Amino acid sequence: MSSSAEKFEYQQDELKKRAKNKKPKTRKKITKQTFVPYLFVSPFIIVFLVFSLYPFINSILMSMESINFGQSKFIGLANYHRLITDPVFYKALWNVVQYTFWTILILVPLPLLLAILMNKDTTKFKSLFRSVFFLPVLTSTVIVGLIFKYAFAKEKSGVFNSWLHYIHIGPIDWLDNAGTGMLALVVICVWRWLGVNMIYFLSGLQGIPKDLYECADIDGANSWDKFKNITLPMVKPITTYVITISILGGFSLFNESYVYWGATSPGDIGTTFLTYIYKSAFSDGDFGYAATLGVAMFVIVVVINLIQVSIRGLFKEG
Amino acid sequence: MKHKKPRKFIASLLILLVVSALFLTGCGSQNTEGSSTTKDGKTTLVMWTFVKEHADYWKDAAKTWNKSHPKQQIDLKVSVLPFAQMFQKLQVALNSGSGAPDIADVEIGQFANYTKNPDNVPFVDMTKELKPYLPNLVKARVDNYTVGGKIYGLDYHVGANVVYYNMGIMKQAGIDPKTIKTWDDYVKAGQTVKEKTGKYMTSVETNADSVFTSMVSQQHSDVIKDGKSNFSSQVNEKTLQYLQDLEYKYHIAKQTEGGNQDNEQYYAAFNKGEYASVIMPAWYMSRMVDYMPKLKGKIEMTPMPVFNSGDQTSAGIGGTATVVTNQAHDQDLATKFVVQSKASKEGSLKTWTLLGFDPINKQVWDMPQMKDPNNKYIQYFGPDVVDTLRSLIQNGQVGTLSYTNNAYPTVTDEFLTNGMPKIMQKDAPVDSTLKSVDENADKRLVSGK
Repeated sequence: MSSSAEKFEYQQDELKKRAKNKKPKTRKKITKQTFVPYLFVSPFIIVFLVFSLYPFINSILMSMESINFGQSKFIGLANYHRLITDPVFYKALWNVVQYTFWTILILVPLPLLLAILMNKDTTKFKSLFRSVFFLPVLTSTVIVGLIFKYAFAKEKSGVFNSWLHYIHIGPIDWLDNAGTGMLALVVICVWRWLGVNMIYFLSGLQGIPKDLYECADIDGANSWDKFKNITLPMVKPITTYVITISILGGFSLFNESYVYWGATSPGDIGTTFLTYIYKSAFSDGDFGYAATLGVAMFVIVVVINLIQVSIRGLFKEG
Repeated sequence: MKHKKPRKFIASLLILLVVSALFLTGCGSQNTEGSSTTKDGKTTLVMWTFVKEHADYWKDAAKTWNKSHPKQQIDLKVSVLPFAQMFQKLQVALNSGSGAPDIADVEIGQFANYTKNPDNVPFVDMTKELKPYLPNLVKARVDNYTVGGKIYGLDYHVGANVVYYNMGIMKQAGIDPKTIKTWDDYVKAGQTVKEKTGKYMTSVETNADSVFTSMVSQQHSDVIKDGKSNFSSQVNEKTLQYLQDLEYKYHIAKQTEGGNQDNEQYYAAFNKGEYASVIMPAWYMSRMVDYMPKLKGKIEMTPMPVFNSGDQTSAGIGGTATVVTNQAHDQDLATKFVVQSKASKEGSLKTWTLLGFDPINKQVWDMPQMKDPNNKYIQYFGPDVVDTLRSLIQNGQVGTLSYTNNAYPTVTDEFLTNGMPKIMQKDAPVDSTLKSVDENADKRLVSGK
């Protein structure tokens, strides 16, 4: 009895103490448990605030200004009105849409096929081939662009024209025509990113449990059935990821186009969002309009990715 | 133990402060370039240019200045940057309000990017300093950089456009360039050259327009009219048709190596003797001396042929103004230095002796130093070129275009993007192509305002 009474008394004391110390205790809680994690993530938060959020908000404000050597004037939506009537904007939009379409069309099935080959037990020299396909990623886009620019030279001595010469075609003026210019852009992209996408798919493939295939074998499924019903659904998250980064990459195309043509290309065949933003800001000194283009690009990319993700049902899975 | 906790807290706060300080230091830094004077009392002036030779010219000018102004010595620091990079840096520096040099070279095609708002030009007005020199300067060259009645820059040269003939080829074809007076004569001569030597008479540019604009200017036409794109005007259309015909109808011209006549691929081709003539401004002499050694003593320079009587026989093509920026620390000193170095007789003469340019000060043309036999340009071309250029400049044959009109960058961009390449590379019809260039350019101009 006495022990339980003591216990009761002690509990009462504790409760009183707690009630007394309520305030200091919570403060202690903030310093120790709540604050420290924030401290650890603070480098990221600060970088994000200073280099992402602040420029983002500021560029939205700038997109509604006319900026002229230290004098900025609020002009409301005038830049946006200019945007929707600007033929170069639509040309740039059409170029990046085309480019993104072709890169996705090639850079999803082809790496998947390669990854399946690289994942087969019967393939020889797998690690060698994996490295070979991956190697282009390690190169600099600008240098690769310069080399491809010379390879696509319009003279007979250009690499591709000299190949075509053997089958009596050409010489083709690659970088002065819309279709061949687009081809030249897509070729660099495929050459460079094939290996990366292959690695993504490979990691996806290696995550598929072997027993699924064994079960399918027992059920008498052929290779195509297994591919369609097991492989494809199992690598779906990877496919979504690859498509998303391809859209982002396609819309932010700059290096390759800039190396081929600089900021101005004949007939705007190489103009992309970024080269146009770059030109508006740094050669025309039109920083307000450049910000408007940036905001437009942001909205378009977000909308397209939202559509892509919701069509593929990713939200449901989440 | 208890004491440690607040210390920890303070320590972590300090870390946070240091981290944020690291990130924020970039924001507040002030422009320190050129603000100081050197230990021996010279004023430091920083200059940006995109041509190495211009840097040499200015270093020489600073020496001359220091000799004649012992009390106002200058320590000139010149940076030579690649063209595109220099103008990007200049745009950003002038827009952000810090980091700009005291003095800068601004190419004529870039100039309008800085004068969109005539009330807020980021350069220093030179009119007052220039006044004593104005009667002697070629007016068209000064007008190019005049905005709202104020002169903001001073050019290196007149840029009088001429025709350079390769006499090796012309003699083989039996043609004296002096007999070529009209552009029709030029075609006939070209046909003879092609027949007798197999060489092309000239080249057509595909991504540049200096030949075209010189012909537009000589006929007193322009690419801008009332602030609108004017490429499809009758004169301009006829002129471009003439250039297209040189290539596709008469087959006496081919597309230039590298798309324009001012690049190393083209210099090599011309040096090898692939073309009988090239239509370029006087400043092209320096390219010939530097890159076409084989043609020394074989070049004859003539005024441009004309389309109709009453046309001018030259046009001012290209140019680069030296400006003083509104961020210059000693604006008065910088302005005086620039004006004296370029507009005075002695300074302007140096643009010829050092750079091979046709000086903008008309008095210089009568100075005996122009024909100094030790001058490398005289040695290459002979003394007659000075007479040819002098007669063009002193007789007012050098006109200009609306280079520094606000619409010029957009209009030219549209023409070089959607006009010139189609017409010269794909044989597109001149009239409809130019009409669509005008329409698109006007659309961009309207939306840009």
